[in-house]
Amino acid sequence: MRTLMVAGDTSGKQSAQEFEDFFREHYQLVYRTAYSVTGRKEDAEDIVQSVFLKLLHRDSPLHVVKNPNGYLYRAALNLALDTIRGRQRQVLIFDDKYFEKPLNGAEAPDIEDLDSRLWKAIAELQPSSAQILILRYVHNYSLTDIAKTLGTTRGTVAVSLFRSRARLKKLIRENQGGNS
Amino acid sequence: MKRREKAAGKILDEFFGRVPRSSPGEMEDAYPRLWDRLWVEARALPPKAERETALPQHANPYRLVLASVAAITVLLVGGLTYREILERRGVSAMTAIDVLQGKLYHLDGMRMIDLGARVQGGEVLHSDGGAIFQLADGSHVEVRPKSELKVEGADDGVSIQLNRGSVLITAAKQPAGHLYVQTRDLKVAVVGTVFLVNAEEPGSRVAVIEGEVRVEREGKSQTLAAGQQLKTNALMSLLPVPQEISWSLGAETHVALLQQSVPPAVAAVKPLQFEVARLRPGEQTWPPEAIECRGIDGVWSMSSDLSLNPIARPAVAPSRSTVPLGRCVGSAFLRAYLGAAYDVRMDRISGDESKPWFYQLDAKADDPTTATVDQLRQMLRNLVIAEFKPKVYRETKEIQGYLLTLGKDGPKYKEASGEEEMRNPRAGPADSQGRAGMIMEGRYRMVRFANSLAGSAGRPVIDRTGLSGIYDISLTLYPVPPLSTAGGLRGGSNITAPEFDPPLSEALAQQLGLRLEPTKLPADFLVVQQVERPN
Repeated sequence: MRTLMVAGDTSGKQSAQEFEDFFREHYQLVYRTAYSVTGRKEDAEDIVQSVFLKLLHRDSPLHVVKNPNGYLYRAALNLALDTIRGRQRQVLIFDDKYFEKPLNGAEAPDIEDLDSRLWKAIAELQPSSAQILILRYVHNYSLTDIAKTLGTTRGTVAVSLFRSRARLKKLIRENQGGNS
Repeated sequence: MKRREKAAGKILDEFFGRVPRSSPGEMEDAYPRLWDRLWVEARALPPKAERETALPQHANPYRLVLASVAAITVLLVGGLTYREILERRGVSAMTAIDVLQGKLYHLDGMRMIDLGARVQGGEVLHSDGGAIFQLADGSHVEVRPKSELKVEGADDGVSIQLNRGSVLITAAKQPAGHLYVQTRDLKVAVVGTVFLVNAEEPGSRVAVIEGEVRVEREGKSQTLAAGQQLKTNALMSLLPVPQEISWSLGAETHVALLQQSVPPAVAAVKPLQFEVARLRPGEQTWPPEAIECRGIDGVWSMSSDLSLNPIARPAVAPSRSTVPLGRCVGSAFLRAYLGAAYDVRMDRISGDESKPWFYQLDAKADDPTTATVDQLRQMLRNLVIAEFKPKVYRETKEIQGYLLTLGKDGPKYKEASGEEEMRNPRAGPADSQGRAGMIMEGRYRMVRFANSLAGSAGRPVIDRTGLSGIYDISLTLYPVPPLSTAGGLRGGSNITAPEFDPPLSEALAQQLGLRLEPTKLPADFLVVQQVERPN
């Protein structure tokens, strides 16, 4: 794994080419993570900008030195979840359609509503739980890979996944109850 | 309960299945946009002191950064300042471009810069179908299809390095410094004007539409005003400015601007036009491609003009034409009319010309007793352009050719009286080995004689003898093996040259005192983007 990063090299030097190489190697993880959560390319691109600009701001990004993938993934997911939280607030305030749902809505709006609730629930999970959940079910990482990326153990990952799933399934059942 | 539990698990799995996933292709497409934008935003970062208070804890810090109006530069990034990083990449604030129309590609052809994208300069960009972008100073640059360029910082402004193709630039007033366009063999400096620069293998062209530009080449500087053009290779052709820019989306506006810009004396020269011209669709006739004009100084025939027709027979005698004086008549496909209008060989025209439009032409000059062949050709060109409204651009490439020059002892032929007269090649006496000879003879201007040698040389031949009169010339060649009647006299660089014994160059030296010197010659290729059917 590359440890070279902005200001992280022991020599204190790095070239633009090295930074571009770093960007090239990692932007897909950031973009994919952001896009899967936000569902919008524009948001995903904004998040890529934010994450890498943030790196440029840092004088001493020590997290990155050891584990760029973990750092970038966490940063991307947190920003993406922030984005959908902000979007939900916007919807409540600005989107009249939200209040005009038909009483016996068709299937598509129901799914949209369910997805929205599930994303909201994911956004409310512990950040580490959300990170594990997305790596497992969106990026299809194995438990071992998740543990490696986030610097934890397979057991912790498994427990976290079980709890997160249980919480989301509970939400689904409540949602079904409410609809029936 | 169990069933409900299962259902919840299934629904959750379906939810994750619906999560949008970007394909590798999408992400690859996004790469140049993301990277270029990162640098644009990085450029706008505030100095370190400001940034410590202005930044983070925000979901989208770069927007904050933008709002903080940054005069950056000294931020250290692991030993390099941003400016250093940018400079290493050859970019500065001035070289950022906004793509307003069309698409540009990075040189690798894989990364596209689409409409609306803002990118840094400093990289070689390629235009496939044409594009318009805006520089940071507000200058607009229209890029012709099949062009290649790079936007770089200059000591006192911005420089566009044009490797190939054309750019039509509407330069903003430069408050300080200059906008430069640099080709392999010239540099154009402007401070606010509209102009065209074209870069091709053999050389470059510059045409000014409004204002003036300063052109530097070979250590000399020269000013070009509106309506003026310049080329760096004497053998390259120049079309009138409106035709040079006909590929531009804004061609109409630019032509109007040109008419406003050029001095009245120049603008007042009316383009030559036929008094009456009839151009109508027709059925293909035999011979299928024939356009002829008869002026007071001779006859021009497309079918015998080797510069236009690669399968012309040089000795088809135009003097036997039945075209009345002061007229042009034609019966040909659109391609032949375009070739005649732009002086481009028909097999070097590509694009929209493939439309199988066949037209009959009958056109008459207002005064047949004074119209020369050249004037009639100009009228024909103006007619074709007015009727078909072609949008075209030229690509000039280098091809192998010959210069026809005088040997050290001068010509071994004499000046003739009367008009040019070219006769069909005829069989000559057999040589000592019993091989039949072929005699080319007639009264030639050297330009035409050089043209007529192209078929035998297998390459274009340009007259550089410096002789201006009409001469009695007779040349006997012994083909090996004997030429067939159809194929042997074809012109064109890609057609195998017929062999002669002695070789053509020796025959010319021995019999006429002329030399054939191999050289690289510019050859125009016309790309037709659009034509209209005449009303």
